Amino acid sequence: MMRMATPRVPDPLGLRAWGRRAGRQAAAGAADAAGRGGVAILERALAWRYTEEGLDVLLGSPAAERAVRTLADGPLPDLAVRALVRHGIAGRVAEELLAEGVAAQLAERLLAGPELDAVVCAVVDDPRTHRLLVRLLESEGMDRLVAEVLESRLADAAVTRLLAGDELWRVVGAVVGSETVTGAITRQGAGLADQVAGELGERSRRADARLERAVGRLLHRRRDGARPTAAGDGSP
Amino acid sequence: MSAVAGSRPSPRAAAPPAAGAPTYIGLVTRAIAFAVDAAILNGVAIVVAAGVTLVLSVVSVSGDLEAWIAAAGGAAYLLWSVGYFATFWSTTGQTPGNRLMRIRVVAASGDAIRPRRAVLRFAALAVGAAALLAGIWLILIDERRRALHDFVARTVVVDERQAGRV
Repeated sequence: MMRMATPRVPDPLGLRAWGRRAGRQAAAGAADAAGRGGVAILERALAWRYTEEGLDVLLGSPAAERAVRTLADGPLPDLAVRALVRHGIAGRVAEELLAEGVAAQLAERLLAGPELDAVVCAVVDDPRTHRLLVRLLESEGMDRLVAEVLESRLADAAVTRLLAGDELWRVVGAVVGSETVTGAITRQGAGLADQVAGELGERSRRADARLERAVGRLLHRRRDGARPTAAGDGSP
Repeated sequence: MSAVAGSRPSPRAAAPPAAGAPTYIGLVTRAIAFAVDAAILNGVAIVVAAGVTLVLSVVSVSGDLEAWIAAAGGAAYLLWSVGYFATFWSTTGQTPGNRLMRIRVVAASGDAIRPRRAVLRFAALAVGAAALLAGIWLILIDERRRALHDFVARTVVVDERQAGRV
């Protein structure tokens, strides 16, 4: 379809342009006035005494809870986190926190409070920790690590330092002087003395019997079966 | 003997009787036990005598006093010997040597012997030993392996585990 060309009206005074400018200015003024009016209404609304109560009701309502849950379950938090990381905001926040000493305060608070103890106890008591530890200790990597540590200069230096210090000898002295060890040594010594005495007694009793048999033969006197022997199998 | 038992009950007499006859101890075992006792007895005496001699070596004493000290030393040694044997025989029935050899001196009834009888036993032991050990050789021919001092003191030497059933 062919478009019909509009015949150009001559405007020697520039009224058309003036009109367009006036229109734009009027529209801008109207928009400004509308904005100011809106802000004023908002300020009035916020200053209204029922606004706060209304907000409390709104925020405490199940609808607000549902809204927050929906927001949290949705993609928005992930997007926000990605945006924070991508734009370096998270790093800047962390640097700012470190510079302000927040990390140190946080660590201090954590160490002073009971939470750390509870966390450590929970971790240590957890059977998963035990399983992890067992798996770690039985792993080949741990074997290699231990072997490397033992072969390293660190182990030699530690042993040398241990032998040069007084601590080891204090420990050895305490162990040697402990009642358990001395009791065990005494028991073993008593057991040995008992064993030696028993063996000596047995041998001397056999010697008794041999000597008396020899004397009996010498005197041509046979003793009857009532004569006791070293083994105690006779009677007087 | 029964009077002794009645007046002074022995722990061994209270021990439960075990099956089998007692084993009387022969010459070799008793000789070893006596050797151990002699070593202890004389070891202590030698140490004491050495101490006294050391003291006397720095203190000048007259000859008469030395004679008296020697006599006192001899008396002390005799007393020490008698006391050693009499005490052990009349209490546990075992000197350290007897303990080592696991033998015990008891009365013929199985009870512990009284101190007076222990002293008598020691005196008889000394007499029997002095007569060329004639009192000791009796052990070899007596059926209960008794020596002269056992006859005199009416004692026997038995295995310590069988002391309650003599």
